[in-house]
Amino acid sequence: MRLGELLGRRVLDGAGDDIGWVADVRLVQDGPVLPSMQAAFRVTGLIVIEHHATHLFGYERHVGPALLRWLVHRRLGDVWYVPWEDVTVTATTVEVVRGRAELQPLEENARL
Amino acid sequence: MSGRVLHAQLHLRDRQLIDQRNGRLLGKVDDVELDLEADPPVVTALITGEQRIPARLIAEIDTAVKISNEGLDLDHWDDWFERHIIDKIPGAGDKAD
Amino acid sequence: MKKLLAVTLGILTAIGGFVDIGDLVTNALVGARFGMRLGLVVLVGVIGICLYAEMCGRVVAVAGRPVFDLIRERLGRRTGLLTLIASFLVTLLTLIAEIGGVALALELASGVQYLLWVPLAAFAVWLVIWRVKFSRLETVFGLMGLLLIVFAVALWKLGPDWGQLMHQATNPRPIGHETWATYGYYAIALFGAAMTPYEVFFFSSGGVEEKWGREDLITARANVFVGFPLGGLLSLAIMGCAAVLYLPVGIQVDTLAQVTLPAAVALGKLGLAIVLIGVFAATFGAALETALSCGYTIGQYYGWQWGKFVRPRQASRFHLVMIICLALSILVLLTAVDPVKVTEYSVVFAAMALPLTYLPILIVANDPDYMGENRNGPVTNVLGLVYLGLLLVASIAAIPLMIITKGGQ
Repeated sequence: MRLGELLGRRVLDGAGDDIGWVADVRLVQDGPVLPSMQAAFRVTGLIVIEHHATHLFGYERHVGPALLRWLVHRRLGDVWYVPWEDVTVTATTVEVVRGRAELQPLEENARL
Repeated sequence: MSGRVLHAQLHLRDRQLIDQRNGRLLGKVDDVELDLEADPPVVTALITGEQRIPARLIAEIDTAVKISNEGLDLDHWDDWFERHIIDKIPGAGDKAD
Repeated sequence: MKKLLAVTLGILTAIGGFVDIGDLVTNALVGARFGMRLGLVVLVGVIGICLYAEMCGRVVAVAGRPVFDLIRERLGRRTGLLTLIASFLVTLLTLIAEIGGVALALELASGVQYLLWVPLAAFAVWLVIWRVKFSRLETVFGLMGLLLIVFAVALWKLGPDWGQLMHQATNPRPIGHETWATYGYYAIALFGAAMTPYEVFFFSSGGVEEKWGREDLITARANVFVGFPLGGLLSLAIMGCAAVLYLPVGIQVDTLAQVTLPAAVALGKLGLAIVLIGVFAATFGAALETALSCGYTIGQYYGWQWGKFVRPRQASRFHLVMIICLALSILVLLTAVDPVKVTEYSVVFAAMALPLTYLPILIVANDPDYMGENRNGPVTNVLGLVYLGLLLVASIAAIPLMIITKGGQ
C-alpha cells in the first residue's frame, strides 16, 4: 500500500465511531537487515489527529515558535499515537481496537 | 534494540533524492510504498514519478534522501531534453561529463 | 578586497529586491508624492528581509537545502504547487520588466528605441547565464549595481534641508490630497518589494552554488547584513532625490528618465553617465536574478538537477526553463506593454506567494533535525512571527487596496 492512500483516511474505534484521521506513519529503523546492510524501516504505529489536515509541519514534536505550534495544534485538535498492534487497516478506513478515551496522546510519546 | 525513529510523511515524503555516488539530484520522493501484510510491516520502496526505488537502495536519510542509483532510470527526461535541445546549443559542456 | 567580493551575492540579491526597474520608478514616484513619509517602510522591509535571508543562509550552510526544497517538503505537493505558481508568476513578470528595463537604459544611453534593444537584452542575459561562472556573475553585477550610490551623492549635492527630510521620515502619514488608501497601497508595494520571494530563492540557491558549508555561516551572515541594508540605502537615496526635486513643485514621476534626472541635475553629465551604467547594471543584475530564480524554483520543486555548479547539459531542464522564460519575455515586451507597469500586476501574485514562502523557512529554521544547535533563538522567532503577521496583513490588504486606489492613482 502507498503512504498516500493511508494518509487522510478516517480512523474509527471498535464500535465504529469516528475518532479522527491518519496524519502520519511512525517508522523505526530496526526491521530485518536489507542487502544494503541497513535495517529496514518497520511501521510501528500511526499518528492520528482529531480534525482533518494533511500536514502537521513537524509540530507533533516540541519544536518551533510556541505561537505557531499552538495555532497548528488548535487546528488539528487532539493528536494521538496509536501503536500498530491496535490498528486494523480495512478497505477504506482504519480501525482502532481502543475507544477514543483510551488513546495515548502523542505528547506523552513525543521525541524532542 | 532501538533504532532511529522517523515519520514517513515528515521525513520521507517530498524530500530531495540525491545520487549517493556523485551528488546528482534525482527527483523528489512522491510517495512511500508500505508492505502492511509483512511481519513486521515495513517500508518496501520509495516512489518518484513513475519510478519505484526499492528500499534496499536507500543509503542515507537526512535533510535529503541519498540512494544508490542502480538499475533505475531517474535521468530519463533530463537526458531526453539534453539530447534533443540543450546539446544542440554551443557551449553546453563536454559529452564526457 | 577579498572580503568585499565575498558579500557580492547579498548585494546582487538586494539589488533585485530594492532597485530593480519597478522599484527604481516606485521609489522615485513615492518620493515625489509623499516625500520621505514612506521611508520607514523601507527600513521595516530591510529588517524583514535580513531576518529571513539570514535564516535561509543558515539553513543552506548547515543543511544544504535551498528555499524551494523547504517549501515543497513542509507544504507538500499541492500547497507547494500553489506557492510555485504564484511565486513563479511574480518572478517571471519581474523578469519581463527587467529585460524591458535593460532596454530602456540602453535607449536612454543611445537614443535608439527600446523595443529594438529587447531581443538583444534577453539574448545577453541568456548568454551570461549559459557561459559565465556564478561567482563571476554575482561579483560583476553586484559591484556595478553599486554605482547607484551616485543617487546618495546626488542627494547630498542637491543640498536639501535635512531637518525637513527627517521630519517627513518621522511623520509616516499621507499629506495633501493623498489618502490613507494610496499611502497604504504604496507602503505594501515597498514592503512587498523589499521582501519579494525571489530574493530568498536566489540567495539560498546562490549559497548552494557557492557550496556553503558550516564554515561559511559567517560569510552567509555578512552577505545578509551588508547586502540588504545597502539595497535599502539606495532605495532611500532615490526616494530622497525625488522628494527634494519633484515634491515641492508637484511633478509626478512615471518614467525612468525622471528617475535618473536628479543625478544629472546634481552632478552633470558625469553623474548622468554613472547613473545610466548603474541602472543598466542593476536591471541586468535583477534580470539575471529573476531568470535564474525561474529555473531554481521549478527545478527545486520537481527535484530536477539545477544550478550553474554543473554544466548546462547536466541540468538540461533547468536551462530549458530559463530559455523559455527569456523567449516569453521578448514576446510579451514586443507587444509594446510598458515594462514598468508589468511589475505592478505582480503584486496580485506576490500577495499569495509571500506568506507561503516565508512560513516554511521559519518552520525549518526551528527544526532540530535540520539545524541542530544552529536553530533559531527566541528573539529571532518573535521577530519572525511579527513579520509573518505583517506579510499576512500585507497580502490580505494588497488586492483590495489596488482596486480601491486603481493602482495607486
